[in-house]
Amino acid sequence: MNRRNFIKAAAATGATTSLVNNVQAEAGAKFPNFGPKIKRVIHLYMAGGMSHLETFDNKPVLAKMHGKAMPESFTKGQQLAQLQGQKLMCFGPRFKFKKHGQSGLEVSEAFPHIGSVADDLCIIKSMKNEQINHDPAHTVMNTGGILNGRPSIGSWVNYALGTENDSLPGYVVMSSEGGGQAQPISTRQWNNGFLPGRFQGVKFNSVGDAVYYINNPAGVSRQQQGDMIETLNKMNRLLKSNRNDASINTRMAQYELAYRMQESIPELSDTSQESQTTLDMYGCKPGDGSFASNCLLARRMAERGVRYIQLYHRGWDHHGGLEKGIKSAASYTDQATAALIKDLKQRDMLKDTLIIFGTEFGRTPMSQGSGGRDHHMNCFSSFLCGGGIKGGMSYGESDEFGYGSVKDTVHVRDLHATILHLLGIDHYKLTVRFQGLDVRLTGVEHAHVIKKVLA
Amino acid sequence: MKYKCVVSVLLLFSLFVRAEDIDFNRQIRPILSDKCFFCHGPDETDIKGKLQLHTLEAAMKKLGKKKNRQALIPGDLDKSEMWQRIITDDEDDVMPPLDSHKTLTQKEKDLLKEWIKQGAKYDDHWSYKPIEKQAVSSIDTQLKSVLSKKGLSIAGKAEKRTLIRRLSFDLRGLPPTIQEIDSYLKDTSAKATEKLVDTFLADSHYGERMAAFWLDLVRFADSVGYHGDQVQKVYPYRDYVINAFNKNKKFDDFTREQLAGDLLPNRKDEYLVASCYNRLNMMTQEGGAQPKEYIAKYGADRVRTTTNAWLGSTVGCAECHDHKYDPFLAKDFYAFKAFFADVKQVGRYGGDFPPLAYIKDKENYPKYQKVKAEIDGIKVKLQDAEKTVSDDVSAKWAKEFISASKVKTALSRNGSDMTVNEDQSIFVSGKTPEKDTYEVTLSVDQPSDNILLEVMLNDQIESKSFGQQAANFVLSHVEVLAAGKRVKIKRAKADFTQKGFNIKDTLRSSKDKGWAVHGWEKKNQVNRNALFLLGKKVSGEITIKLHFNSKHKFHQFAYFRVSAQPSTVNQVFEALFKEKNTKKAYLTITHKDYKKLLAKKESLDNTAKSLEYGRAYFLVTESVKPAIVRILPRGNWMDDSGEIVEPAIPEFLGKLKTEGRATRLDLANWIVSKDNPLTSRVFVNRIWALMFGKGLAPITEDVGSQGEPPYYPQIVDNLAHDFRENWDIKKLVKRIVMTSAYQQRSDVSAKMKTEDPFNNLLTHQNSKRLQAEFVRDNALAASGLLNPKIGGRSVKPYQPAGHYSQLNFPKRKYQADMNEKQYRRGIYMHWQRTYLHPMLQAFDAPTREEACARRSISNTPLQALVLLNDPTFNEAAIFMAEKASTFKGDVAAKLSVMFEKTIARQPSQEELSTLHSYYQKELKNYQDKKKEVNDFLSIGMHKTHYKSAEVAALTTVARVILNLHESITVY
Repeated sequence: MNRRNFIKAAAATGATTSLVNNVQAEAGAKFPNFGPKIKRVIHLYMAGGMSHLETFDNKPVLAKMHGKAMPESFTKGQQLAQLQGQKLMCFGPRFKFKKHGQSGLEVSEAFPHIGSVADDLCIIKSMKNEQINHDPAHTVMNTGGILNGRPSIGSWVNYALGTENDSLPGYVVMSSEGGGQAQPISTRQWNNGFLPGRFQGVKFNSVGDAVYYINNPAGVSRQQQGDMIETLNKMNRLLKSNRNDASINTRMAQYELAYRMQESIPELSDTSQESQTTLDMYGCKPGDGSFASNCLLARRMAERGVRYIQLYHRGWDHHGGLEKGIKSAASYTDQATAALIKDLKQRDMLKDTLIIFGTEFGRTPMSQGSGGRDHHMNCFSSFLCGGGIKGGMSYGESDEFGYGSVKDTVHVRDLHATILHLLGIDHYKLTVRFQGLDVRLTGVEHAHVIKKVLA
Repeated sequence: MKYKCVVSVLLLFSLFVRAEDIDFNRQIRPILSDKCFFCHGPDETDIKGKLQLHTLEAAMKKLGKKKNRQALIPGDLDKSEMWQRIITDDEDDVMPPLDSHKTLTQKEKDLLKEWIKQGAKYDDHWSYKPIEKQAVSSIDTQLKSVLSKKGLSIAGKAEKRTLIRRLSFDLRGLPPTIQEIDSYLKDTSAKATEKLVDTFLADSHYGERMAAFWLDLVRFADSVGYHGDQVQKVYPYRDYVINAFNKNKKFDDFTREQLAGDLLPNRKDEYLVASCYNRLNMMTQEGGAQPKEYIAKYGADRVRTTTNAWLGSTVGCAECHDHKYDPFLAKDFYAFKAFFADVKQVGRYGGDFPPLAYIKDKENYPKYQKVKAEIDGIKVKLQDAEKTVSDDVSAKWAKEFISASKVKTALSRNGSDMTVNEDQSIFVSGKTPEKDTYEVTLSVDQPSDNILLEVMLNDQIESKSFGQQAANFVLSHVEVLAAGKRVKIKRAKADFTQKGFNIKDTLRSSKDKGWAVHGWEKKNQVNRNALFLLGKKVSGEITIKLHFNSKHKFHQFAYFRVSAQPSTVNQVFEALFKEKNTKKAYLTITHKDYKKLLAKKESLDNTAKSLEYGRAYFLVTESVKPAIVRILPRGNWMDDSGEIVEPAIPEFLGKLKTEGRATRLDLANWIVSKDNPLTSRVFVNRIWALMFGKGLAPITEDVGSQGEPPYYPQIVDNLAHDFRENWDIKKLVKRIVMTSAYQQRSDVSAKMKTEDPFNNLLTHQNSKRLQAEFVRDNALAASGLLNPKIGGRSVKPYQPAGHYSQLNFPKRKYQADMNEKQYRRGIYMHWQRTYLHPMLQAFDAPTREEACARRSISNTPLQALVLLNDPTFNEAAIFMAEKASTFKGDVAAKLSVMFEKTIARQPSQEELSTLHSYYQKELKNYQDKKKEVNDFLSIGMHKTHYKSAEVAALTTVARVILNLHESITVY
């Protein structure tokens, strides 16, 4: 039996009816609350703490102060990570900045390709996190707080809106190979927390099988696997005929979905049919597991209706060897990021995609060792691009040292509120009862949609 | 969803109870708590309009400038402003206010109206009230009397096969065996079920089943959770928990031992192992972590876990502010935290997360004893051999091997003085430059391919160690020239090297590296030797250049000898370097067994080490001087302005009567005292949830006002009252499973499905999805692969390659156990907090980063993929099929047995014929497909003997059976 017949047979017996429920959002018809600007989010996550001072936030005063003591007025009583108890010296930016495009937006020379699409970018220079170490900072960036067991934003979004493809997960996470020193990233970062398990981010592996257990056992063909599931569901239907148990229907639907995923995921992951021009634009070889490959896969996922896509690139934790380290990290990410933006644009998909290029925190204006920077949560940069976003602008300002945010601070929860807003969700209304509380992604402190960056 | 639950329950009760008195706790408190308390609740710091509604007194307080307004006047709707504000059309006045995003449903309004009309009776929150002895002692009677008033009844008794499978999973986490089923079916006595229950409670697998529940609560895991998520040593604690349940340790002792095992009199190993509980919090080794911040995190973690595990309360909410819904104050949070302030810990760890203690490792200790006996035997033999040689003989021997080449010239390039002694040693004195090169030219008669460098000590050296200025030396580079041409040095060896300053580094010129020997340490101020192996034999004039180019200035040695040596010296010096003892070196070369014995001993020493010397280490609680605990304003660990607090229980629950500072033992004693209304209620409710799939109070982690009140509070109190008379857990479990309520059928009528969709009234049993570990256990047990061993170290079943690739510090590779450990129960699986095994994760096992009282139950395609394709489940299917293939009887009989082993019932005719025709189809498929058959039946480490098309086809059927919804569901 081929796939179509299989599905048809299943439909004839009523087995797929519950599937319809499955692809719908858990939250029911409450969302969107208003007209969405975008359909999906691609979060390019520069993990490890990308220096804002070498990428998007030009600080000539800091350059002049290079080698001099950091004014104590900035640092007194402030939290430090590895620089605790050390002498604090200014460390001038390692890269020059260049104005780009009609907007004249400044991007450092580390990112020539990203600079080339500057007119599409909205650079935020006043991001703020509340955690100074990687693991908890990631947790804030993904779940809005540091308590374990809270859902990450991709789970929230799928919970509210459901998926657009009943053969693929709605929330996919990838982490690229290569790029030097790599801080660990916990599966907690894409956990569904207290939301139902199907909203969990599904980790796609960059090399090897894209999803665990996606391949049939050795010696079992696709046809046989289909027959097996058909028999299985026939048996389950016999059980259902004796029991008033809706979860049997769901179970059957999940097996059918699993079977479809066994086809759709390898199809999605196979980039061998992409044109050489496309591969060259991203700068990747099929199957190399690189960030560039993952960007290309992100486009393919976007085309197939995956709602929330997160691509981690580790290797931004430059406590030492910052200049070399940034060159290296940029060599993995710059071209592919720009390619993804251009590719979506040429396919007319950028208008309903939000691309976030961000990190968990920035780096200190002070040097660590002879050529590095420490973690810095008070101020860092990210950019937004795509549907509903004003291009060619920068938002927020840091002080002349790039130490603190002095204008239009964007806390992580503000970013979350804005992402939800673009998806048509009022972040105050997206709540779930947990441990007796109506828990929100954006937490109990007030979060603000950043209206000025909206187109 | 919980929200839906609340609404539907209200709806339900509004249908059923309308005519009766309003029950404040069940019907009104949830509304007030959810819709009003955020602004008008117990949190004193955050009250709007000076109005609190959580007590009658507060709600009736006279407010307003003229003190003429009251929110609540019992019985008087018109004058109760609360009611007027609920029904007003004025958007500015309406309650809850528009910007709260909360609204009251019509039903809720009706209930509030009725409540006020009936006199606005308040009642203490159900779980905070003293536990009363119930007039009716039978749970079934309590249940039936409520149901009969509604014209309902419980369902009939489940079929025996259903019941034995239910009991087997609920009490052991395993399916019943066919023998167990048969003997239960045969036993027609009235006591048959009770006998079965007693058998299951006495089975050691009972302890595993119960531990699976407790380990979630105490967030037991094999790794520390933060950042690098390194492995921690904790498995003895899991054994403690399993044994405690099996031995039916009383729950009060169980409590005291975990919270304060280290403080108990008559200190026992078992108590110390139990005290590991206090160390199961997440920990970090991250370089940039601030110790103070993490100390705050660890402390908060303990409060959350302990109050959840024992009190079913969300005290954790009071870390930043007074609790919004329950009477917990921020002060209570920190005072609770202070109980644990004496637990020895650091904020940022290195190494093994000390303090650790150890007990004998059941598995390794006997093995180690054997190894140790062998080592001891070898030691004797070695000593015997050593006795045959005198020190003089070996010393003389060592010297004889050293050929004395003559020093022709010796000079220091930067102007030190060099004196050549009679024994050809060279003494360096006079000026000590920052850097230098020593050039020594030897005249060599015998063709030699080794250069020996002896660095010696001499009491004329200024530093009293190696160098005139520096105590240590760094020899950065060595060159050898024969007839003016460089001779390649193949290898270099030394009898000692300082970490990071290897002798090999002298083969290349470098400013950073070189050979050094910890010369400033007294214990390392001994003569050192290095040997350079040349690429060819040399003779005549040989020049050796010793460069001291290091960034470490003045690091030249002052007394040394270089000599050219024949090939034979290599072996001798290797022995000398290795043994650091001339006698041993001598013996390795001259004695016929000595070298072998040494090698054997070395390998046994390694084995002993890998067996951890028969020890089972675990994180232990060590009590030290208590750290100061302050209230952290808004939970901010950097803010030291808060008040210092002493250990205390939450204020509204009373006060400990202790002299001096209260300890963890005092806390434990209070937790299991009759003054505490929570522990017993929380525990019986959770055991009920294990047996019914749902608690009497469904939100088992929160019995506070934001939880859901129990539908049968009288049953909770009945069980709780009796349980705390003796804290006998098996008795409690038995009492529950022996009720008709437990033993009733689990299928539900269409009528009740509509009227009571969440089965709050318990008119039938619930069907339960197996928890993750038991999904695995079921497949292994049904197939016969299960290794039923109880206790021991964590095990590593097959796991997809690369699952740990994102872990770092250190990088790790998962090595699956390729031995009998492969088939251990799920409870023993290695629990990596940040990268939980994908199978466990797919089936909703918690990561155990946080205490978990109630697992979510999902139904996802990833679960299907696991059961379909994970080698564990396919191997089980193969094993099951292979066994079935050897049964006597026709195919149908074989299929029936596989089915019965998995689901404890026989397949219906239609089921059997479905499986049968599927079998026939697959048999045809695999006919003449040797490769496919072989590939399929080679999955897993078990060697399948019958690789035939029949077995392959039976395996496909076994796969179907193991994937059935019913296989992973208890009815």
